[in-house]
Amino acid sequence: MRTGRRNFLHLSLAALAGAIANRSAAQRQQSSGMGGRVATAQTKPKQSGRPFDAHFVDVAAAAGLTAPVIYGGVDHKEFIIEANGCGCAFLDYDNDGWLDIFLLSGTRLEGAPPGATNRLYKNNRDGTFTDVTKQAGLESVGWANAVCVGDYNNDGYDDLFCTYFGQNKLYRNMGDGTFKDVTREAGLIDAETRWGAGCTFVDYNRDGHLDLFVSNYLVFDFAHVPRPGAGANCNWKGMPVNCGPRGLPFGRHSLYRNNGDGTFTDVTKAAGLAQPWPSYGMTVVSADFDEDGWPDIYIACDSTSSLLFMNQHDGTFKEEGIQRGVALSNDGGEEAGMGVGIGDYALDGHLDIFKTHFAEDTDVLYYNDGTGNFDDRTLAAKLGVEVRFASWGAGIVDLDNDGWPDIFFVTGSVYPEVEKLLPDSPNKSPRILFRNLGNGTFEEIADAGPGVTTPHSGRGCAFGDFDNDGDLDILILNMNEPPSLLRNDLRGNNRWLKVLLVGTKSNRSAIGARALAHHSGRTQAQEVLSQSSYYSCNDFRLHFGLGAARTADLTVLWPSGLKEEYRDVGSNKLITIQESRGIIPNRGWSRT
Amino acid sequence: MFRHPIRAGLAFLLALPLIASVFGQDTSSSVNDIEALIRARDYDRARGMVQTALRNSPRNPHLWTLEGIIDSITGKTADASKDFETALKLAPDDPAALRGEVQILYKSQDNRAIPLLMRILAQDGNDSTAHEMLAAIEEKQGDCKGAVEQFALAGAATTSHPLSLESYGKCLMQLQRPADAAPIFQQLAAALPQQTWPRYDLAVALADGGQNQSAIEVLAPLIAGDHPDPDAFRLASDAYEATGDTPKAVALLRQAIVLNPDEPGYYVAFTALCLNHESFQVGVDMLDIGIRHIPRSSSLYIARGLLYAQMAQYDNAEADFRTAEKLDATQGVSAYAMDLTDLQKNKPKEAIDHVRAQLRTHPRSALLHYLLAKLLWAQGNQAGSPAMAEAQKEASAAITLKPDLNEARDLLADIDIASSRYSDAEQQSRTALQNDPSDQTAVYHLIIALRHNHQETAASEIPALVKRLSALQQQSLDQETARKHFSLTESKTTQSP
Repeated sequence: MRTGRRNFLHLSLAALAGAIANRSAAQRQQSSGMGGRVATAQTKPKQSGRPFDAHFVDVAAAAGLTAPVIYGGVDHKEFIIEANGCGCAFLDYDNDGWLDIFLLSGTRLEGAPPGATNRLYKNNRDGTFTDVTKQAGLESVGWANAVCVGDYNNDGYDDLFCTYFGQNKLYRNMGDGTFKDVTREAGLIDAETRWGAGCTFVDYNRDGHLDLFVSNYLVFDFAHVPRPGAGANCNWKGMPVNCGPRGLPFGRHSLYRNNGDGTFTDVTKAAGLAQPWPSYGMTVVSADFDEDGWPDIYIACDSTSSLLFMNQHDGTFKEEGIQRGVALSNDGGEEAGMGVGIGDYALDGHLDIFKTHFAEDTDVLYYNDGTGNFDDRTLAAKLGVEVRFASWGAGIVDLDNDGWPDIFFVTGSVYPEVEKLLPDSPNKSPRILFRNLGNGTFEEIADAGPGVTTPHSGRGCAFGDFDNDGDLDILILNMNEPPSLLRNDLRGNNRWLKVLLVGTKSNRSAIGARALAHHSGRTQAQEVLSQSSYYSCNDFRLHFGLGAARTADLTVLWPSGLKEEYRDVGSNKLITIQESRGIIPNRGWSRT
Repeated sequence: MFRHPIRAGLAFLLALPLIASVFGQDTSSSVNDIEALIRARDYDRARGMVQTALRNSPRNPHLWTLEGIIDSITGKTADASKDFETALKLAPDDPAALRGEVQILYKSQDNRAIPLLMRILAQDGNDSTAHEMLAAIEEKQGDCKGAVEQFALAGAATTSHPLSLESYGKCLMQLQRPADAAPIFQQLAAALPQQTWPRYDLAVALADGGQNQSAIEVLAPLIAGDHPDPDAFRLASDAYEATGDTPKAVALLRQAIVLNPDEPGYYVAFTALCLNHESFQVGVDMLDIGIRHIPRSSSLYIARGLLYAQMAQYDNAEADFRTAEKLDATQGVSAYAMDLTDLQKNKPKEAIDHVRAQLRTHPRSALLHYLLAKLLWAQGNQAGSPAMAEAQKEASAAITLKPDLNEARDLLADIDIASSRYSDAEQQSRTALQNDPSDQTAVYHLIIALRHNHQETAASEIPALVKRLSALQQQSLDQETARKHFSLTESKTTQSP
């Protein structure tokens, strides 16, 4: 009799199958610790055999970028705050037409070592840089996370906003090579300690003044967060590691309206953003995804659904990430969203999204149908071949100027201590480059130079042409190492066009302005972004590879609503377009 | 009632006046005499009178019925059956003959009783005995849905029969209606107060129905008794775990293992606890002990391999899965687990080759069909490609073998979405949600399918689905938080269990 009744309890093998399935389902739909869902790698398809002309060499040391970026423990991370790292920016702070470099920095639990600070490097226009941090007034020590760039006061000089665990900072560019911390006078002091994460300048109400959106990662408190192995979400593959983000309280995001007088007002509640979204927000990108002329906001969220706030044109936003298909994986699983690349990989004139995740999950490519609705094309695009590493800063950028934007991202572990026991989970890992084959698929390029293959524990990265030679170089922030500056030694004869947009009625940085380059029967969209990649900011000059095309037609859509057309623009040059005035002389550097 | 010959005979006797009342005037007196003899248990004289009457009236069904009753009471079952069959040929709806024949067929659980019972019920839909008998036969035939309907119609008749209560409750459990089964088992436990197993069944129903605290209370005497039952410890462990009291759950499971260290199911349950709480090494230590006790249990090797895989010790995992396969080649779980290990090692091509080979050995393993489909799909082949078509075929095969394998159904929806077959994706997702309303993947696929498929009409459904998905995510998070609240510590398992 009892044997029959025991059947009510699952048989051993059935229980095991259930355990395996449950574990698999849990990994599919839930994130664990820092990680996201577990996905299997696609088989690598046969290589196309086509040469890839871009070749990257790390010239950071020769360029003078030798100071290490301090961020938490080197071989062990006791707390998650040591693990996430920070971002960097390519910006032209002195308007000389040459990209300068801004690098954030963290600190250490035991206190900051000498030299731990954010750093500003001025471009010497000869392939080298000079550290001007101190004279620029940008020395700062703390747990910095993200940087976003924008001319919030429309004075012609790009300003900086930096997020911190603690107090975020707004630096006003004084136009004389110095910056001033204006956080307090701008009304951006937080009464409580928050973990500022992603940020972006965005003119959400289209009044010509850049507003500010900040994601907050989670509520962190050294006294109460458990130690590695000591609580929930503090193990990885059976090894004790730093705890979180799962199990820690969510942060709340904030929107600050620019009052046009140098101050900001917190309008989070009025904008409909105050509710506690169940998300660990990281990189923030603002762009007009549904092409209605109003900027929307996308937040890559760690271990939770990513968020897409759609602009309702009345000062409010509505979160629509799930129904628009950019919140989850193709099987509805929450992923560890960290970095975001924005670009038009399909050359259909619409902005797609590439989002990076934790190790053992695919990064995701969301295809935009032009209405702000997205489809997950990760597997179809053959991007699922790479699941080995935690991935961070990313871009959909044309690195070989063939006209088809490629995908590049940096990788690195958040658990440096595990590599001793798990050699397949190294602390330092290579950068990953996928070449766009022009047919909706990508192929991983195994050797695009030592700058790509040399392993580091990277975090933020920024794309820009620091040597003004007509291709995109890459700045990468490495944890507890000097940064990498990957110079692109591009071969071949592919042509290019750079477009710098300057707003007049729109914000002067032209953040949110969109340029459509029409050539060779295709259209590529790009938008000026204040933040993307991972906590970073790219060169504001939009870079279009043109392949063999000698000219391109341009359409510019300004945040003010103005639409401008430019026919037969020549290639291999930078043009500066000022809103309403057309093409104007380039400032500083120019290439004839 | 159905199994006791005397009680069966009494049942027939109760039907006898009905026989007399329908006889003609001439035969009525002899029938009355025969009935009187049967009541007086003078079966030989009764049989003599019947046989005399049959010589005069061989086509009189009532006389055949009476002879059948006498034969039945005197243990001549084969003769009785022939008598009733003859009676029923002459009068197919004769109530007494129907009952007599049913009684005989029922004893051997012969499903030929079913149409006869249906005829009885056609005459009297309120015949609770017939409903109960029909239910019992249907339950034995594996038709729990029909059995439950008949038990319900039998009403109070069932409640006085423990075997019926047991069958009723068992069927309700099979139909995944533990909340309905619990009161049935409650009655069973009251009917058999000296027995412990009804309480155990009741606890199973309560636990499966989410009434874990009640289950714990019901199990308390089974755990505290002089002869503790390790199964009860194991079940109580489940219930405590569900209430969030993991330390108690662990302690009870350890006691179950101590009471019966040769039962692999307890070690497997311990493994499940360790997986839930990400205490992998503790689980490995316990399984080491289990394997020393029962070295030929394939499930223990599978369990340990699974734990090794969680710790990225893939070589150890694979070795255990291979041992399991050698010990019991008929189970398909170790093959499935081995393939998962290949996947975790990021060797998709090897995994595909292995799954294909293992499917030749385990062609009816739904999990392996699903895994192959998943692997083929994950290769990112374009819609319409042969690999995509094969993925779809394998996922369909998995569903055919195991219709509630939602992972395969979700995968099919995924393939449908990638192939722009949004109506098919919608249908798969809706079916998956019928199987499991908490299937987040199915909810998400439904949202995506509706967005593509019926942009206008779906406007009202999508927001509700988004809310539902968000609620499910929150629910998962809460469960995960509760689950991970406790970690099993290694020191407690370094000794014997």
